[in-house]
Amino acid sequence: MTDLTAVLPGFPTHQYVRLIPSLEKQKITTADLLTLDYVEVAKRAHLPLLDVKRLCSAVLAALQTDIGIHEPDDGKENAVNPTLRKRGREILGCSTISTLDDDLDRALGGGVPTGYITEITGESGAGKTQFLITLLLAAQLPAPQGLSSPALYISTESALPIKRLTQLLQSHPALVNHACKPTLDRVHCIVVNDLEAQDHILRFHLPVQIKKHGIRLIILDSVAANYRAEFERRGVSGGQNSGANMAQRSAELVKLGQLLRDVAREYNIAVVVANQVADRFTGHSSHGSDMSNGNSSPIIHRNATQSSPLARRGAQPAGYPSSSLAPPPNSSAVPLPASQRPFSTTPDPLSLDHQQRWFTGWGDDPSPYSLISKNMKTPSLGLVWTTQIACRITLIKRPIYGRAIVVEEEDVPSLRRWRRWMKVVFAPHARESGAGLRGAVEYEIKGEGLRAVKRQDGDEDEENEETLPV
Amino acid sequence: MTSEEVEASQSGVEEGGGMGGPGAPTPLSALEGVAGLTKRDIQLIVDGGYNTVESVAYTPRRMLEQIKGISEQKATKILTEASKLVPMGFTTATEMHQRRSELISITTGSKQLDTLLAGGIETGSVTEIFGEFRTGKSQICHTLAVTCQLPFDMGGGEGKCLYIDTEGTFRPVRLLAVANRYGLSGEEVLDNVAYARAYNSDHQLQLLNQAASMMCETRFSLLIVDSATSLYRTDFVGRGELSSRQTHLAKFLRTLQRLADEFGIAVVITNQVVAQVDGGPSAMFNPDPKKPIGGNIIAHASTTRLSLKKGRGETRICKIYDSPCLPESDCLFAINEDGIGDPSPKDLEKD
Repeated sequence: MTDLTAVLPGFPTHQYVRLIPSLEKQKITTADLLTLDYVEVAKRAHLPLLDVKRLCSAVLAALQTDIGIHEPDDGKENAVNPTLRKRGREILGCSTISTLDDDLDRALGGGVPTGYITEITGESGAGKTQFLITLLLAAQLPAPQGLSSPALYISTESALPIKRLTQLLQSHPALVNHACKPTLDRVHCIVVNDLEAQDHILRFHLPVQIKKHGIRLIILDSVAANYRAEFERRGVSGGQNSGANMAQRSAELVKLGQLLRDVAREYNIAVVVANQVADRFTGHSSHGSDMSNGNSSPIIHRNATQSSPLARRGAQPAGYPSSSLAPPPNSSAVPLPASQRPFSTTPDPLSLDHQQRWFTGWGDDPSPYSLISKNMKTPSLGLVWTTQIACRITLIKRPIYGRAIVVEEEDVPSLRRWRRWMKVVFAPHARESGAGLRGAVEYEIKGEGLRAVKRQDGDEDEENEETLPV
Repeated sequence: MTSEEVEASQSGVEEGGGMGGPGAPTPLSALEGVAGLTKRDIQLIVDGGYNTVESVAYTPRRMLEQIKGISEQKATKILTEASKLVPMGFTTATEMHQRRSELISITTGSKQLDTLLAGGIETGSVTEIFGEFRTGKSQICHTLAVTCQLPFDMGGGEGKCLYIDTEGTFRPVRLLAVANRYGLSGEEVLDNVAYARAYNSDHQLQLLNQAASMMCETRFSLLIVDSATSLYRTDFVGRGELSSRQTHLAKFLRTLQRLADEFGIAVVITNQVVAQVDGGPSAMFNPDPKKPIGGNIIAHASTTRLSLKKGRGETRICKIYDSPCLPESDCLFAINEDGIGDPSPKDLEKD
């Protein structure tokens, strides 16, 4: 019974008050109640047979009602927990929140969907927060663009940039002349500064807040900040301890994912989280792989550990496939010249190092230009978190250099501006953007909000500019 | 968590209690009988030191579980129920807007720079300044250490300054020069600057705890860390220690953000830059190889990032690198005898 409230939050325990303490003491779980014979349960917990039998059947009935295969006895509101009750059309009718720009919306299949966890990841300054606060306002608009409902903003980094929000409200072309203009009153926000507070707010206060205000959009900006600061990852010294720490972090992340997913599904809410990035160390640049098990690890050992996210950075050996390794199965007998081999940095096609480029948003471009290991990022929190989310949107920024505006002492080209792209890496409802930046939507951040850049002469121009010789 | 923090959360209840209505805080007995909570459970929690529903709603579950006789399940249940009764934490953006508009910005001494920053260095957030040596990072810090003491109508913060120095570049003489410019008494200005020299990264983090207790006593308006990353560069060497360095740095920056939130102070940190020399061919594609150090951790943690560059003569260029509410643009400022100022007209003309 130790987990009854977790499994069935709405279960009327007061009828069985006398039974529960004893069941708890014997560590009888809900699964035990359902799978063991009630006689045995009663014997173990020293309780009257009939009472236990009644409890067992009540739990069973409540579970069936919960997933919707059984009509509730009292016949009151059928729609308490309609998870399995949705069929056909109802499931199709997944609504979206617009980004208030047609091109971005098109790439996103209409916008950010409800009922899922959507992650927005990108470097600092790529526009994550801009994207999120646009959603805060768009959610308040009526049906085609929003959900006409208030929104919730939980910040873990810095407080809601209210100045910018006001500015958008006053100047965004899609908002200024709208019949039902969004207001700041319908944006609820809170700052959580540590993991404990974050967990407390999400677990206990969030459901109350959702019911009270009818919230349909929850934004967590960012999911990584607290986890990154509070879990130590000791490189060399901590050995054992670091593994335990990361294992605990993974467990917490799974719990967080489950919590958010349940909220999203149960209330049909859009949950949008921002994620930070970490630099990716590609194989050939990690000459001194002196981390945890770098130098000493024999190849067999490495193969065994490589697909674990913990080993991702440490286990990559220096340089190129050592001679004892068999060539990757998918490469044909005739080896391609190095410049044409698309993903030549990892020898093992099943390793996380090789695979992650297709779910992180960075590094999946086979063209030789992007083989430059520069600016490869990985969304933080690793593979564990990636499996928790339904949709990942990556915001990529690249610098554009030009002559300095102000004459400087040295004649060095200086940073002129940034170009930014939005890329759908994976999503349940929209097509992914595809490799590299080809399918990604370029956008710019203006005073009045995000806006897609109209494409004129295709990709040609793009690459010329990037590789502009110095 | 210590007992002080519990007390803090309980005193928070008393303030928040006014919002809930005219009534005093609700006694915990209100939860009795709700969702199967027995009188005995309530009594156990009261014995554990939580007398009101509010105090329970603000307490993390871990604390409740430590009370004898309260299981994880009970704690979850009681928290769920308490949260239903207590409106807490969330504010609407309108309220936030009002509160934020009361927050002030601290002038940098240069009109151009102030315009770029929409008034100056924002309180309640972390501002990062990075650039090569001799680009004016420390000079901006010295000027801010004085201007933060100015009255509100002169663009100041009417508070003291806490200066954490890791490079040994703090020069009180510079403060006197800036004080002269604003007509402040030099002695008072120096008295109002609390100076601490940090010797290693652990010490640097520890200083923040002391800072918090000082800020409880008197009003501070500015915390400067010059520079936030230099000790990390020496304390952690090589790629092997990179991840522990980044975690430590993340912890340090979280603490700074917390101080900024709790005390409404402006936090200014400086950062060094490195030339990127690794990754051979990439240098060709990256004509501007100077990068702030600290990687993504520091990039995500600072709210506003300013990049400084040398200009002609005493002028410097400041560029907004990342900010949630300022557009990306740049401006010129000058380093004068008496702190940061506007460039003289002749420097501007030549462009």
